Amino acid sequence: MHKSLNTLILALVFTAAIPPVSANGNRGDAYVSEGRASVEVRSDVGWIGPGQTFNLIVAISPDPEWHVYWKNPGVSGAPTEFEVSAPVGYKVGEPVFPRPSIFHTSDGPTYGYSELAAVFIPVTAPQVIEDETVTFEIITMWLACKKVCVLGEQESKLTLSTNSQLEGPQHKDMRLSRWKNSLPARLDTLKEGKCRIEGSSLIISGISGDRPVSFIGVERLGVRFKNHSTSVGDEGKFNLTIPLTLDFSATDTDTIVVDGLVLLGRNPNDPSYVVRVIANAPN
Amino acid sequence: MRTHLLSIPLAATILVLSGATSPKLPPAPQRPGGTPNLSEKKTVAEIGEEAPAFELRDQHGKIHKLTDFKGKIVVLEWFNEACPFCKQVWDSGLIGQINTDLREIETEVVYLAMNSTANRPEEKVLESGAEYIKDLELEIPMLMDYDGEVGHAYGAKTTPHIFIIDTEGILVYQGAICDDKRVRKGSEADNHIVRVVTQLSAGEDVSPDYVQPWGCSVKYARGGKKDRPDRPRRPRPPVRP
Repeated sequence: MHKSLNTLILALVFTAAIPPVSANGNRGDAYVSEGRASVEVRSDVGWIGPGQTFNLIVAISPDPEWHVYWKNPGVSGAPTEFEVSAPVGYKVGEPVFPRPSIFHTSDGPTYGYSELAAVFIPVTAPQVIEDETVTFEIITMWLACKKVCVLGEQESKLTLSTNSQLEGPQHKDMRLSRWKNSLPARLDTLKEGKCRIEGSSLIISGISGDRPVSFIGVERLGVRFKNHSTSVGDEGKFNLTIPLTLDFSATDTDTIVVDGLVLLGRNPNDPSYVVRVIANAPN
Repeated sequence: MRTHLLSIPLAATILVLSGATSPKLPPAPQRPGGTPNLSEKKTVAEIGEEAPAFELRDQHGKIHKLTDFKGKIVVLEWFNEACPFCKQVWDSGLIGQINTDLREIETEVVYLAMNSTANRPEEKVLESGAEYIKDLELEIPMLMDYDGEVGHAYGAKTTPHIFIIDTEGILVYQGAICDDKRVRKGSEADNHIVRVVTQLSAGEDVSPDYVQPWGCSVKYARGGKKDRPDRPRRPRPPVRP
């Protein structure tokens, strides 16, 4: 009994003494950072084919009791951001964040993740590619907070094979499908899901039995959101009215993108929908 | 007591100017008169309206009133040297550079670091903030707002969070310090303080007058309400008849 206990203690000591593994490219490597969160990078395809659109996936896991932020942190915090260096000819799209949790503070809400969040970064390959390997470099930058905040940053590399003829198959593991399910859907996939700008308000409507219905906006130059109001009708109909302040003089363009998320229910796994409307400057 | 209080800032200033190490800091400043000199209304400051008045002591014990700065542009930066974003903008030399740039654009500019941090004893907040600014060899007053009344009156949410007041005492900008969270863009960065002061100096309208601030939350003095995730509500147990 004593011997086995000693063996166990020794094993624990050795395990604790092993330094964290640095992620430099290999799929699935974990990295324990000083930034109170760890980052893992992978893709959703077996290989890349000509013209294929695939995703680089950055899974960021805050340490227990810490949280990192959504692309709009809310009243405080800072967005989790990415810098992607792709080979020539590859087009990198906007990162797609999973539905965030709402953290209530006495100053107002902040939005983010206290558990693993997998952010999908779409990439489109050029139409003509060789049979070779290509490497993507991804810098993930975040602010992690508990009672205090720390800045974190990690550079990761992901090397993928390319095929000049065939599109690569989609990975179908459980983790990946769980991550995909936590991404927001298009609003038009919600029953009667619609949005428009009317006067100085963003109006969103749809039909769903999930309650509550709420909205979180992405603040960008020229757009400010005020507290929204929700009206609920028969058979799950809802209508969200979000008063907006649009300041076209703050931007050099005649249009401002107004976007955000409609959240149904309270659970992080409940559905969410992307809202995106272009507001035009008054003549 | 009054003589004693006045002599401390003088002594501290002399020590700072002479480069002496570890000057004894003045005792934690109390709000003069014991009551805040804030405007009557309790709502948060709005762009285009009169900036909330304040009367606070700095790290050397000197009292600063907003009304003293009439005719000058006043830049308020909510500050906490323990916040990594604040540390980054100060350590990188950005704040020193901004102050140099501002003096070239407009001679009548006042830059104040507002400290509403209250997650540590007031003496510690004062001491560490003062040491930090002194170590950087910057002569920027750090105004102590330990009870957070001024921070709340302005609606300061983050460190850093910038508020700019024009020569007439009107709040003309609030928001981010710049668009370069990691302080890497150098001269490519859009520095909102320099832009706003340039616009004011040229007699132009300030635009944009708001850019979403980023940074750590202001660690205000408050009772018990902490950040917590929005958890699903548990169903209530059935009520027994």
